[in-house]
Amino acid sequence: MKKWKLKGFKELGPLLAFVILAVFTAILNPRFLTSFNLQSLGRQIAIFGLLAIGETFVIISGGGAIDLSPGSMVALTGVMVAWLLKQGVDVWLAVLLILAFSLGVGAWHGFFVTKLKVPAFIITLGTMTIARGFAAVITKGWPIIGLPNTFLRIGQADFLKIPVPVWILLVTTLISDFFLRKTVYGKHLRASGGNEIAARFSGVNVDRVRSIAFMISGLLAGLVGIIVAARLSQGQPGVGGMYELYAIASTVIGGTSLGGGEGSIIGAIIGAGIISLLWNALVLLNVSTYWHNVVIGVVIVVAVTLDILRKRLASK
Amino acid sequence: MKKFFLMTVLFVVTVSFALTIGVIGKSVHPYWSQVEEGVKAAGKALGVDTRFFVPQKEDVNAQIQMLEAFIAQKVDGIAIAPSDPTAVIPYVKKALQQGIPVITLDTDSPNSGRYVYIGTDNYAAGYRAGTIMKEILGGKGKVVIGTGSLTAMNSLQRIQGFKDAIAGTNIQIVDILNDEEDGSRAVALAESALNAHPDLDAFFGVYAYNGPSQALVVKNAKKVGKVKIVCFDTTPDILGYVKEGVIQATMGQRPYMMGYLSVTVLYLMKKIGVQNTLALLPKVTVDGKEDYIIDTGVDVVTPQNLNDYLKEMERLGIPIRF
Repeated sequence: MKKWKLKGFKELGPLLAFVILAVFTAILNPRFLTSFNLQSLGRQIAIFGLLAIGETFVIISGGGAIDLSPGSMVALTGVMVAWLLKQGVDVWLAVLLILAFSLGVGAWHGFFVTKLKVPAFIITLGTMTIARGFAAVITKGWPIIGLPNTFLRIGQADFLKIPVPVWILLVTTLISDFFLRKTVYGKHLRASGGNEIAARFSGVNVDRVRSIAFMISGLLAGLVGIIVAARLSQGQPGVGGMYELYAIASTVIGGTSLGGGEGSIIGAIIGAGIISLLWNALVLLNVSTYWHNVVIGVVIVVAVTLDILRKRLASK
Repeated sequence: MKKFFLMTVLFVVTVSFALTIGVIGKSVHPYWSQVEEGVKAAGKALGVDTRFFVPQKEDVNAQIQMLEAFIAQKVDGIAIAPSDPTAVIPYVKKALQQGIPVITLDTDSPNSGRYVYIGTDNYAAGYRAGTIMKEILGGKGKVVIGTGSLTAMNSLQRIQGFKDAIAGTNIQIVDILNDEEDGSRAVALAESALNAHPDLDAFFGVYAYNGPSQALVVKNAKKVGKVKIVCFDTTPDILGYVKEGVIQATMGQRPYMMGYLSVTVLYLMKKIGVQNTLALLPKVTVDGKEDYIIDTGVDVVTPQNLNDYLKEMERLGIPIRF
């Protein structure tokens, strides 16, 4: 019981920021609360949120682990799934193939980081460039259009008035949160990130734990690639610019320590919510587009700084 | 020694026999593939060896590196679409000093000393879009503009042209949205805008993907025909929406012609001389200075003339299928 209270407290800061932002926007422009807008916002949160979940696993695993590839992977997998569909591959088979591919890319990162000791920053930076390049190679810049309707539903349809990507996010969040907090793997993950040497001595297979974290991140990037392609009705090589940085920012806003060992899935989703809400609110509040990036950057810095200060005060 | 000299002469003669022309575009994009098609077609027709280069994303530094590489190779002519018109000036001057003719295509760098600019007059094209918007809306309404940049000259000129065309009417621009060339963000912004302005009458899409992003949102919101769309370029997805009547008009630029003409003009400069070539071209006076500009113009594509447009493209050998 006490543990639950503490848990609630940990994500309170970002949650409060999210709520205040939402209320503020809704008061200034009541159209914020239309179902059209909330659905649009939900789809955006799903995109950043899923990437942030993957990033959370990787960052918690410690040892300076970080994944810079998601943004470019979103572009590549989106283009690949569109290409497969154009070749007449069945929708669900195409989706499965892409998920398997992105899982493989995650395993590739894990292998380089754990076995070859290549810094995560470098190997995932490599993928960031390679994936973006391949997306361009496949498409020569042309969007791949004319995708089947069953596929588009993944990104555009609603179920019980809630967009499909939001359902995907909800299910993924529940599974990931359970995975991180209640399973042996989650315990080992946090142990590996918190104190790698101690974890190794107590028999944790740190390499395996870390590799799985990269695989989760890869898989989710592929999932988002599929969602974005379905949302745009096309495979577009130019999407996903800077998404990895938004995902990392969401994760950190949500209370995950960049040093590893500590983090929260729910927090990451709230972080993704704050960034998506900003994109949305700045338009609704008629803020000049010249200021959008300035505001988003300032909010990220303020949110993280306040959270760190709050934690320091709480631990005193 | 004599033999060596002879071989060198032979080598130089054979190498310089086929002219080499380098073309530097802006990014990996359908638009630039069409330019490339035009460049290749002209190269084939004239028997010129063409080198076409684009950076992955807009990157003036990569362009400058390629420009220097072309200068080092002593190519016979260079056409460039500078991502930054001022950054390339010293390198264009360097090429000109070495006797390599340089022209600009798509985007101009007027102070670089380049001989000719071949491309869409973006202000005129934006003005045309504004005029069409005025007709479609009957002179009054609320418009949101979506663009990928608020610093790039082509975006600024199109928007300025559009604004000037609707000046004095009751058409009001309620917001300008910058998605920084991210298609997904363009959709999210169009959704937010449509929601923020329930009485919105039209979107104006400045970059190639803006139109389809807006069309997707308008279609999903079931506001086809209620919210009109005027946009730029003729990618297959745009033409698909034109066919469906979601997009009312699009300004088709002529990238193929830009590529083709660039190679042709550079070829002539080498064959008959720079001044003789310029004498063939339309002369304009800008700020009291004589200049040579070829406006490749735009094709306004509407649901009514779509089929004619497609036939015309097919005839040119660049069929657009969708």
